Amino acid sequence: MSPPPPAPNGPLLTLSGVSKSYNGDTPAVADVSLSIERGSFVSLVGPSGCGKSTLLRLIAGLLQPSHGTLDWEDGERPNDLGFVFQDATLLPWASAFDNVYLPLKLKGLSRDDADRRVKDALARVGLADASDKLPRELSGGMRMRVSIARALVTEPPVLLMDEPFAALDEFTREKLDDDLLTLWRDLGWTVIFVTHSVYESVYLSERILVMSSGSHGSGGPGQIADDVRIDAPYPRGLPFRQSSAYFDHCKGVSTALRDGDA
Amino acid sequence: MSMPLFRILVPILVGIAALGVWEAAVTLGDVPKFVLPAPSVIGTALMENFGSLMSALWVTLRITLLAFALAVVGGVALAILFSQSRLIEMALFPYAIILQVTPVVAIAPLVLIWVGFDNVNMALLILAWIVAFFPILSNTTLGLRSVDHNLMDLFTLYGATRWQRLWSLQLPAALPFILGGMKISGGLALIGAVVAEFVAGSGSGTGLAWRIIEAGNRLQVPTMFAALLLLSLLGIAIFFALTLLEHLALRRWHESAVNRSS
Repeated sequence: MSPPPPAPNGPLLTLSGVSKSYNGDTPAVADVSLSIERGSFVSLVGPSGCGKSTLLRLIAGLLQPSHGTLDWEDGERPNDLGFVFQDATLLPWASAFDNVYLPLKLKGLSRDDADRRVKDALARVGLADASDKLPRELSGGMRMRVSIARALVTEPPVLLMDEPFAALDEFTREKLDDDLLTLWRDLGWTVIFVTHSVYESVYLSERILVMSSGSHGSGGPGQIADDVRIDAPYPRGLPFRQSSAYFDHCKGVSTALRDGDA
Repeated sequence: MSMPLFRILVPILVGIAALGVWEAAVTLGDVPKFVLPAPSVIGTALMENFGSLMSALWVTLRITLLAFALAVVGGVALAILFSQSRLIEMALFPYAIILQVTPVVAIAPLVLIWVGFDNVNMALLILAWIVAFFPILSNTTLGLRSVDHNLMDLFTLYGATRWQRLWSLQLPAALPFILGGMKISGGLALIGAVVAEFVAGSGSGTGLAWRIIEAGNRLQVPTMFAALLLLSLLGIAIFFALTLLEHLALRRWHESAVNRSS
């Protein structure tokens, strides 16, 4: 029997008892149930190997769950999911313009028809002047910006990000955090953001799902250990980064992480 | 003196010195020219037989280039087929390896019988093709498989068709591998053509290898050297042409061709 369709104005996405195991081994994630509200900024935080990337790939449809269901508000997964990988994952032989054009090209749009949208997307991430540059001519931060422009060019309702800024230096990372928040507030996306940085997750998110890999950090199946709300208002600039509320939240999430693995 | 000029000048000077020593040793030692002709005698033989040697060169060149072109087309096409179907790859790849590891000299008599002695050029073409084909096939297969998995996922997310994935992702990513295979295969096509000509022996064989055999039988050692010189030059020309092609195709984006000092 199929489950009843989700009620209108319900959550954008509901996961019920989702598990995923590869080749019948110990599940990478086990029995995860959660819901994501439309327009929210949610982070998945946890140690390496706790299954947060697996969970993100399940949501993206790149993996199929072994058990459980994913229910989208509209009945099926939105066509245009934006996905940003840990590496910029650009075509090395294509210019910034052509990399951002790629999703539209795959949908059959001609270069001319896509021109304005691609240029808008590049301008939004501050790379209006770099559209002819090849990836190897750009810095790590700029490459990640191209990657974000590519994700937003299709105007996706949902943006999935898999530790996107982990390889960048602290300064570039904080800058991109702020730019990402601006884009999120401007465009009304739902963002699901995977990170292993407690500080980054607290700074960015409205809600943090703390993941653990079972008891004693033994590499057991990944589970949701805690669900933390960060109620600080946006925009969150330097004052928030330096506030005691910020540090209290960080302490709380760190404790939840430790408890989850204890 | 600038480094590139120095790098060209040194081997040339060494070559000139070696020729000088050779010339002096042969002249002073009174070595008969059917044992070791002096460079000047070889030069004279080259001039005297220039017309016939050039037409022989043209025959060998034509077979080499045709075999090489067919090897590129066939190797890339088969590798694409392999990348689309594991079953076809599983079924055919072992036979491609068998064809490669069996010495071409041993296959040659059989091919000659099948094709017929009145059709020797076709046999030469087939034999040169067999030798040149495998590096392209194996390199292209490797290249098509070496595509960044995140990029493959990205194409899946955007609903790319098989054809779009091949054309916009796998083939450009495999290009450095294909060009590397071509560089090996270009030299092998020449070796294959020459070896096949040796095995075919007489008949309508009029290529450079046949000129070497013929001159050897008549003890015209200077002409043998002249033909050998032309074969070397042909090999060098093929190598440089393919190196240039590789450089032009990859110079903008691939790590192997990027000039670090610029």
